[in-house]
Amino acid sequence: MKNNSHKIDHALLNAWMDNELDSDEYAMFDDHLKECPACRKEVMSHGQISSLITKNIEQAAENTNFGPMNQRLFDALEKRNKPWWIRLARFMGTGKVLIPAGTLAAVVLVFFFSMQPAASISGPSALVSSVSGDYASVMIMETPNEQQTIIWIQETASIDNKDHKG
Amino acid sequence: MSNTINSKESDEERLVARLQRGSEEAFVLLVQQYQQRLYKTAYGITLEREESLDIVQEVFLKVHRYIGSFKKDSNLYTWLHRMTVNESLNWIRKMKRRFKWLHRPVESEDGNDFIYPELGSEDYAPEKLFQDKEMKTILFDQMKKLPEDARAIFMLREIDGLSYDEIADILKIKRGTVSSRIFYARKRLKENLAGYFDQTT
Repeated sequence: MKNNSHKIDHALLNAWMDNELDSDEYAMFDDHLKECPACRKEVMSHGQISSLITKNIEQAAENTNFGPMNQRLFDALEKRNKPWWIRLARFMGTGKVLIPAGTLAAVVLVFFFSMQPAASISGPSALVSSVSGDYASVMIMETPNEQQTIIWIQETASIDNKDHKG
Repeated sequence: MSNTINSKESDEERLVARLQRGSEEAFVLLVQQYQQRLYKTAYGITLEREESLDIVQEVFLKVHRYIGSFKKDSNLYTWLHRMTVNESLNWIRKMKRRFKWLHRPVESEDGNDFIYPELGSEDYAPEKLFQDKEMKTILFDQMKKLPEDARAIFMLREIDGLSYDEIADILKIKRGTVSSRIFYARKRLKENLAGYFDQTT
């Protein structure tokens, strides 16, 4: 490094500004600065820019309202910390799921019952009476539970034959 | 001095232990204690206020999630700071990809630097500029024109006061790269702001 030189060693100057020199190099550059106005001016220019940047960033940080960010942060954590069943219950409680779930349940129930075999009609419990004549047989029966009366009419082949013959 | 450091260290260890036990009060304390410092780092890299707040919020959410795996012999602030730097750089990369078509070159087509038309007018007297918001706008505009990696490295040095080795370690790059990027950023800023500063020196 030359004293009183107008050619500035920018790499060295940068390292000096960033405290990246060893103690001997520091001493040498400090001595050089005392005698070199060009380097002093360079250091001052960089120093002004540096302090302006630092000042503006620090001011921005000091003037920033962290309240809304804190609110969002703690809301997100609260949501994350809730047990899954509470989150599910809250989700269900919003009604977003309730109506589709109810509809689905109804569809499933209808499907389930439609797949069941039709209840068979139980046979007659007793023959109440029977009438036989020339033309037909009539039976009157009753179901065991509902006590419905069934009238069974059977035309006999012989009668048919007779009719056809007649 | 050493007592202060020891006390600080043990405070941090206690805070980490409480965080790992799931103490909500400890988490509130952590946020209050570090949000402004982390914001400065994020804002220095992104130069965007709202995005920096989002980045800090994301960092705290990650701390809450991963504090259980944090090693007690590590430094809490180093961990927080590293996450903030990475989140900020990720944001820059994302924005760069998204707005690639809007990216402006550092230099104009003819190789000359961008010069504000108002430069040298009476309204921009240097004495006034130093206390003026316009100066901040000019400064930030010039900083935004720096390549993202050079700006991030330069800001880690200027705002966080990190050494070349610390920056190299965080960004996983060579020490020489750190040195050259800082050199470049400083040179560009000085050249582009020369008109505003020379008259005051």
